[in-house]
Amino acid sequence: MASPQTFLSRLTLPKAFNFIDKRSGPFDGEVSLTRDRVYILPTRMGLLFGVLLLTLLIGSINYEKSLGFMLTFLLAAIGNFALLATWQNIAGLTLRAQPSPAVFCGEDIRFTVQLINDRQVDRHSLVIGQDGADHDVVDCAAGQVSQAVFRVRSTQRGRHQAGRFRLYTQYPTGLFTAWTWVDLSMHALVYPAPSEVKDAELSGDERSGEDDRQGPGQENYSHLRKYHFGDKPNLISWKAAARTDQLFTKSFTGTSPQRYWIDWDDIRADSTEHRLSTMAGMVLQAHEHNHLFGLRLPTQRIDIDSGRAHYHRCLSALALY
Amino acid sequence: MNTASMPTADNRLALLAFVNLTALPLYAGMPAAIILLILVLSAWQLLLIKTGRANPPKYILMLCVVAACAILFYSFRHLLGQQPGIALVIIMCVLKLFEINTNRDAYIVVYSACFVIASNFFYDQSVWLAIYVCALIVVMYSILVSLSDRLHTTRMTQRLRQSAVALIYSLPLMLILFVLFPRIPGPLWGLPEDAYRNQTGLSEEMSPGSINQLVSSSAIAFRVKFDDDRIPPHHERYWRGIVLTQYDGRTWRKDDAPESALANIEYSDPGSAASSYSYEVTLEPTNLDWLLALEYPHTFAGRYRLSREATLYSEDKINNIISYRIESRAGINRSLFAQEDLKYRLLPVGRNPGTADLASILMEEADYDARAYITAVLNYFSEQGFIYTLSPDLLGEDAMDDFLLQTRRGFCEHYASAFTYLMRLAGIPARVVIGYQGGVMNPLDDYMIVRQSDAHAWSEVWLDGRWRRIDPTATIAPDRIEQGITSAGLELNRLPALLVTEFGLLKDMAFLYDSFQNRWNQWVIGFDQERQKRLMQLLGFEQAGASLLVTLLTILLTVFSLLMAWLVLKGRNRSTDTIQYHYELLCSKLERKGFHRAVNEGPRDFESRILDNKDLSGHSRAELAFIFQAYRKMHYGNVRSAKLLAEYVKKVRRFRLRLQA
Repeated sequence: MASPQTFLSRLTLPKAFNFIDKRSGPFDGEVSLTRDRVYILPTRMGLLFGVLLLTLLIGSINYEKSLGFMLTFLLAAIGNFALLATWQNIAGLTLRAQPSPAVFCGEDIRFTVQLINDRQVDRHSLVIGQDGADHDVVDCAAGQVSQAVFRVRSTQRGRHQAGRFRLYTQYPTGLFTAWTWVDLSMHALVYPAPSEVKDAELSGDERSGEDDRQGPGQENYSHLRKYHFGDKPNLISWKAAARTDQLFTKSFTGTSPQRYWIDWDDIRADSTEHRLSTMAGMVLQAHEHNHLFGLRLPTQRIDIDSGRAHYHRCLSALALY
Repeated sequence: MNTASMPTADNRLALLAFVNLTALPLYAGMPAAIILLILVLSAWQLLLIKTGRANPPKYILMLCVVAACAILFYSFRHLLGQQPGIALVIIMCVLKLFEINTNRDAYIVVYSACFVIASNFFYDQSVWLAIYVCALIVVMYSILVSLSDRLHTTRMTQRLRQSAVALIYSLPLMLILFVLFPRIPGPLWGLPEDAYRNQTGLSEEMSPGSINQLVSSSAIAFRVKFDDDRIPPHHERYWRGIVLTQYDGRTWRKDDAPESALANIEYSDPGSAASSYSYEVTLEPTNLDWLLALEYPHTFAGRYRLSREATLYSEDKINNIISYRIESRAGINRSLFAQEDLKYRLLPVGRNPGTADLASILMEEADYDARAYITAVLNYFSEQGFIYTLSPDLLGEDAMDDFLLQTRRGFCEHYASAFTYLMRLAGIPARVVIGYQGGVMNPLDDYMIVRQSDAHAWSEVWLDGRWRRIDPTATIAPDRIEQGITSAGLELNRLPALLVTEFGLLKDMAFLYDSFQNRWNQWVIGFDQERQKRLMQLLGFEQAGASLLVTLLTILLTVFSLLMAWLVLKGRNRSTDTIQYHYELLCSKLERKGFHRAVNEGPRDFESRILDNKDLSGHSRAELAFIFQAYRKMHYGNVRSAKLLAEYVKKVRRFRLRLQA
């Protein structure tokens, strides 16, 4: 969407506007939009409305039309009402930060803000955004809760602070913009961008796949067993499910799953970042193939394990290294 | 901003409807070709919206503009006047609808339509238009709401209701501004020549039929409020307008003396009998610059001047309702120099030979005495079977001959014209005067209503060194002068129904309505600097200069804006949780009596602490027990009973802690 055409977004704020910094946070996850946090100014169309009023006024004076005065003053009064209504559409809202899922570097981070409307009035057309761009438009009915999402493209690994975002509205009439700047101390973890893993970079005793023991592996299909909560969906036999209305998981024999360490020292790379990217790639691949893996970094060690939690733990460690 | 996004089909329909609604009242005075053009363009736009097709390319729209200009030129003969100007604005508005690509364009259309609304006021400022305009503003506001509703979740009924609320909150503010905004006498710049349509009413010339055609109009010409309840009797209600001097055989026209020439009137003593009247006239717009008054205006506002012909002139054409106060006194008008004498005796040559003969005969009969001649002429009218009628026969080339010698059927313009003609034939300076004769009192408010149907023409004759009014109609149809146009034996089907009706109720309602119209005219439409001063004096401010007005305005606006802000913003802040709200209300009531709820004290503990108090009256005890139990049930127990809630709310609201006596 196009950027909002209000005055403030096109000016670089002088020092005098530092009071905004103090008022906009950072808050600990939740803030209520009180009087001192909501600002309001006319939009371009609002200023044009003012010009219309002035013209009508001058015309009424010149042609001495009483009803011309009536029209002008009525429009002025209704403009005043519109100012109050626009202000009221955003003031009093409570904003609550929602946790943001982690992403890989280069992907968009989605920050979700919960808008809580505990008044008896519906709120409409609330727009959330950052850095002059609009990201999401939501309504919020009386007594209801809505979610608004703004996005940032991640450029670096680590913990990304969302910082200050802007929530504004021009509803009703579009003659005024009422907005607030708020920092809810939202943050999200950005994992290093995974790069392609080449075999040559691996070393040492990573692979122990020569075992031919019977055990849970992934190579030969052996039988169906009852579904346990947590079994991978891609192992479920859907044909059987269609037939019997019960879930069954396929069980394989074959070589036992691979167990290995993803080790910092074992990887040849030019820079820390490259190394981390490679390790991330390996973690990703290991997780996809359901291998058992562990992570060794100069600063920490994560024991061999598998599963989602372990996966995220490893990636976090890489991100925060 | 979503100024960049395309308005929805619903929005476009609303815009189309809005533009047409603003132009609707103007149709009454526009040429049919223009109305047709607007309707055709609107229908085309409607079709495009409904079928979802794209708007035509720019060059086709340019062609439409050119076609529109051509039609305007054909209808009005020029493009730079007010009427073609307004028509052009409407057409541009409609054409702009074809160019709506973004929300910004929609706003431009809305604002342009506001100009169209304003142009309605050139033609009408009645209370009906005022109400219609309020309705239009409601529509406008709801369109703006719709344009700013980006997810299109509001419904039209919702928006209209919102807009109605907005209007109601805006009316008081508008009133404050209306009353206190200083009125500057305009105009700040000039008005275009054709600023106003032809108004119904007297024009500045008279030919057979011109007064006749006004008879069927019940439109108000002016209203008069007399001071001290001194009201002239019917036969003295001659409202003098202008004097017509030049005759070309058919039409009488004005020939004014220079502005600097002064009238030479000897006024009679104000004390003498009932010949002096003080009154205030509220005149409807005429697009002419002269006023109506009883003979002869003596005291009047400085901005008017009395011409040589004893007509009251205003500086500008009267295009708005104005009020003016006059004191008229009977007087002797001696305004005639020898050089002026000639123009009042001129007649076209070589016409109406029969009338010339008649004049000779009558002069002989009268022995060449002016007075006797006048009597002879009047006798000729009364004795030769002349009929006062609204349907006279058509007159030929020698109109005077046909009328006096053959048809002998005519209306006041015929008689006044013929009489003046005969006077001039005898060499007596004579002229035609047009204005109004009559007027009816509105019993509700004690003011006089004079309508277009009271339009009249009579004659003035120079006799014995002064101008005398002679009204031949008084001889032929005296009832017309004594009682009014409805009693003159004229064809009733030509007269306005309102005047002829027998229904007392209808007449009463008409008077009531006119009363209201009069007040509206004076206090709203005619709210100029003077009336503003008067209003301020009524309110107790003796000297209401612009600075006082501005100060008052600023104070009241500030107070009112704050009040409105408080009203609008407080009422909506109540939490949706009615149960909790009322519990807290109860707690604050108890607090006032000294029972403070501890921060972490739950309702059960709080309740038992209060009820432990021995001093509570039995009634209060029972009420509190009920309230607390209801609260627990609904808030914690999730009991959903509308009846219980209503009872609970009622009890909390009415609760008052009473101690035992």
